[in-house]
Amino acid sequence: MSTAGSRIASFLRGAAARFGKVPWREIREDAFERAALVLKAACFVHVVNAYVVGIAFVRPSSTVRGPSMLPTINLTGDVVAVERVSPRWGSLAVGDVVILLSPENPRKTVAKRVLGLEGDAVTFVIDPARGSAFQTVVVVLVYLLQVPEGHVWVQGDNIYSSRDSRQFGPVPYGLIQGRAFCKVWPPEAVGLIGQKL
Amino acid sequence: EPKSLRLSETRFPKQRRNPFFVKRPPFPSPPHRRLPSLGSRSSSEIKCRKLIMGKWSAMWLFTRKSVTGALFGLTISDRYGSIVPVTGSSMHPTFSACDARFPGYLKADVVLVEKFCLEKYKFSHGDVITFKSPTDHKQTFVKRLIALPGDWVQVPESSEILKIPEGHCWVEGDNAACSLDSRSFGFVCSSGFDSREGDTCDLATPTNKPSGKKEGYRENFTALIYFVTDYLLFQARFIQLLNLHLPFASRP
Repeated sequence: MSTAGSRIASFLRGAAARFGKVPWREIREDAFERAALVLKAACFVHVVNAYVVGIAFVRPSSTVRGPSMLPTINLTGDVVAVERVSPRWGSLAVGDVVILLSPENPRKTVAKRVLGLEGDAVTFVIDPARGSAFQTVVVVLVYLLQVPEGHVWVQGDNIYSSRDSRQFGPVPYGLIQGRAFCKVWPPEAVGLIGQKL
Repeated sequence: EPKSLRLSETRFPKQRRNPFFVKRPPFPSPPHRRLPSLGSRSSSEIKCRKLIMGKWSAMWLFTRKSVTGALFGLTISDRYGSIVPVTGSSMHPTFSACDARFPGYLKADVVLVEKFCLEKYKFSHGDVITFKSPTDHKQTFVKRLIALPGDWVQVPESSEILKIPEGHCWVEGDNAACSLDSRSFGFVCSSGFDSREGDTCDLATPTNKPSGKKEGYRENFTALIYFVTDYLLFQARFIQLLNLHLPFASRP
C-alpha cells in the first residue's frame, strides 16, 4: 500500500511538473488569434451579404394561392443572387425583381416585381380570373392609382395567384431588401433575371 | 534563455506566414562610373529603403486594423445595437429638443439602440422606436409606439376610430404640438423597424426632465452604460408606414 501511495504521489508530482511546462500562454494567444480570425471572417461575410450581394432562396409561399412568381421563379423554388447596392443607391427601375419584407408580416420576405415607382400611375386588375372569356357578362374592374411618395408598387409575375400590392397597397421603399438579378441554382436555371415578364 | 515564441511560430515563423512581408529586391546597384561616392550613396540608399519599407508596413498595418474595426463595427451596429444621437423636437420631454444642423447637433441626446427585438418583432405599448420614414426612406424618425396590430386607436383631435391592420402600428411623438407621426402619415409597417429604445437612465436625469421609469419600457441595458452617456435609449426598429386606411385616390 505504501509503495502504491508513494507511486501515486510521485505520479502526481510529475504531472504537476508537466502541467507547469505546457506553454499555456502561447496556447492561449494562439487560441485568441484563431478565434479573432473566425470572427473577422464572420463579420466580413455579414457585411458582404448586407451591403454588396447576397444569396436568397425563393420558394413559393405555402398559402393556398400558390406560386406567385411563375414563370420567372420555379415552382419548387430557386436560389437567387440578390444585390444590395441598387436599393440603397436609389437606382431601382420598373421591371426589377426585388426581395422585400412583407408589409403584412415583418418576419416574412417575399419576392415580387416592381411595376411602379413613386409618382407613377399604375393600372391593375384585382381579380383577373373574373375577366374570363367563358362568362357571358364580363365585368372587369380596372383600378388606376398614383403611387404615393416614398412607395413602390409591386406585383408578382403570376397575377392569378399572387398576394401583392393589389391586396396590400403600395409598399414603402425602405422595405426593399435587395434586387434579385441572377438565378444561381438549380444549374439548369442559371441566368440573369430579365426586366419584363 | 530562448525568447518565448507562439506555438504556431515554432512551426511557421512569422515572416513566412504573412504573405505581405516579402523580401523586397535590393535597389539596383549604382553603376561603376559613380565609384567615388559609392560608400555613402549605398548607405543612404539603405537608410532610405528601410525608412520607406518601415512607413509602408506601418501604413499597411494601420489599414488592416481599421478595416477590421470597421467590419466589426458594421456588423455589431447592424445586428445587435449601436449608439446614435437624437435630434429634433418631436419627443421633447423625453429627448431634449435640438437642431439637426451643426451647432445644435452637439447637444443632442445620445442613445443606445438595440436590435434584438427585431428577431421576433415583439413590442410593447410605450416603447420608443426608431424607424425609416415612410415617405422618405433615407430619414429616420424616433417616436413612441402607441398601438400595436389589432388594437383600436382613436386619432387624436378627431373622432375616427381605426383598427390597426396586421403588420402595422401607430406611433406618436411625445411633443404632440410639433411631431410628424401617425396622425399625419398613418400606420407604420412593423417590417421597417430598425431598433428599439429602452428605459431611460435614472441616474443621469437632469433637473428639467422627468425622472423615473416609464410604464411599458423594457430594461435592457447594463449599469456600465449609465456612465457612458446621459440618456440611453434603445433605438427602435425602422417602422415603415403604409397608408392602408386612406383611400388611394386622395393622395397627391
